Amino acid sequence: MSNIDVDSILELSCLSLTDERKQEFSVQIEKVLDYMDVLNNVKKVPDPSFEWPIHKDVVGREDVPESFEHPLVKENAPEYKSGGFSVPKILS
Amino acid sequence: MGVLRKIHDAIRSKALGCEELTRSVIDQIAQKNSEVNAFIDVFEARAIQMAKAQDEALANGAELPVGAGIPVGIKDNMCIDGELVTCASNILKGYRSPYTSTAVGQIMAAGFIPVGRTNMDEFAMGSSNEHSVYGPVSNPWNKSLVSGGSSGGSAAAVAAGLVPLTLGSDTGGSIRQPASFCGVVGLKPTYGRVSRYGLVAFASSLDQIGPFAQYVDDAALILESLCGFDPYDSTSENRSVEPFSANLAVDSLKGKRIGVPNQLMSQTIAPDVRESISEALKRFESLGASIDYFDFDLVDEALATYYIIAPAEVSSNLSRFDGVRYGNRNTAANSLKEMIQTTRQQGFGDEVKRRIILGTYVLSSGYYDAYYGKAQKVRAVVSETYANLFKSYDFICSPTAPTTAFEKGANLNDPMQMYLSDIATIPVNLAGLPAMSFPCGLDSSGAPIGCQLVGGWFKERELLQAAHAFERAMEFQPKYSFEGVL
Repeated sequence: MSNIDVDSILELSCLSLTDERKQEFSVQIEKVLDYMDVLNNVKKVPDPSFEWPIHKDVVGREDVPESFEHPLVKENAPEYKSGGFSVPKILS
Repeated sequence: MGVLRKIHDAIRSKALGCEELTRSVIDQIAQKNSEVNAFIDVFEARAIQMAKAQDEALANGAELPVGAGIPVGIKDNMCIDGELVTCASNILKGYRSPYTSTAVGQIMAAGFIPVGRTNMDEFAMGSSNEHSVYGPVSNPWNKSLVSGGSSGGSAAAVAAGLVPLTLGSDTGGSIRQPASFCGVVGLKPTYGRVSRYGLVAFASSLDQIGPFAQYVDDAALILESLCGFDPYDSTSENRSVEPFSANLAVDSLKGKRIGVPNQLMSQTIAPDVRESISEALKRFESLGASIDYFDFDLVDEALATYYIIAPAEVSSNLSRFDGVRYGNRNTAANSLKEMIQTTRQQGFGDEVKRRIILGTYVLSSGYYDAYYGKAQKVRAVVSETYANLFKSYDFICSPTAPTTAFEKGANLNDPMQMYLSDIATIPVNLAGLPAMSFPCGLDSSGAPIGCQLVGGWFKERELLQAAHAFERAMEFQPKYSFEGVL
């Protein structure tokens, strides 16, 4: 990963790092990515039934959001105004 | 016999009161926790209130459930209504959960009393419990060693004799590896056995809640309360809960076939660990089991697969921590984008950031097929390989970790070395299998060694029976016993 790559990944991750940390993380992550080359040793095409060996018929449920009524929702919010979460301006 | 049945008998016969026991445990934590840093919060008011209610019920002639009055430590990533849950992260400091996770709710319904929060690696990412905003956990066997992670606080709390039971979560070995390092029993159930509702998500396709105990019998007892179908978790399995603790004691393991992967008994495993596992295998043989070695060629590939899939899921799951709805926020930011970026920068620790970056990278356009797509295929190959192995074997046995607990700070600057300490546990999570770690000896410096036993899908009962037979034959001596608190 070059520095340019790191910058674009940081943008996608909504993270920011100092230049020193970027350099340090690049080296560490490159080492991890190098290790991933071992995946190319696996030539076998898996039986599709093992993509999810346990849950073959997952059934979703209706989501009924109720939690906004809980007093802790307001207490946990960094800023809560007029029944909503307040954030800084989108455009400064 | 584990300690739970002894406590239950003492409470039922009124030789011991629930409140008396709870207060004793809370005092014990206050006195001794600073030595290990296993607990980061104590639910004193809640615990005493629950204990008093149970004493009152007993006085009124009620038949108490099996867990009545038993104190349990809860890892800092499981929600309990009104209590702090921070995942040992600065970004969630001060956050109180508005609901209770199904797993904790179920053990409370069975009478168990959550007494406090146990320390962990931030968002369960780590193998040493050094990545915690509350500081590292010390190994009760030797305070200069790590406890293992990510459920290091849960393992150390049991090993230090502070509580008889704790709950942890296991995504790539986070129950079994610290259990091994701290010389206690740790069980990761089959994926889907225990509801993940209310467990703060790390990697949703791998996470599973399970117990720590000093004795197999105690782990079996609490597992009965933990398991069960939950409509709030779409990956929860709808199958009846087996009485894991009944008929736990089997006379022999005659007819049981144990497979041992050559790759996990190779030169890469510390000599003391290899020797101890060889002794454990002889013990299994003396109990009637047959031992057979086989080649498991996917050890390195499974590790690589895990470190693609888990960070990819992290990148998605942790995007919700943005300072908008809960947790810490950088209030000095001038725009929404700056607020989110700086909140996340200040809120997350290094290991979490590393995994978010890695996960975002492997999911990004141009790299997805080469990494994530390939990893999903290899994951299926791993599951298929296990399915074939379990046609020949009842259990697969190996060291839980390639080494015993290492010195604090030893691997902090080398993430790849840290990741390698999960090499024996990770393949199990990829396939969703149940597995246990239990103590099988000490190394030359006196640090515990853990033996890992893996079973077929939903074969927890057989696993517990085998581990129990081993435990009785081995008679491993814990360094600290909870019975000292009684």
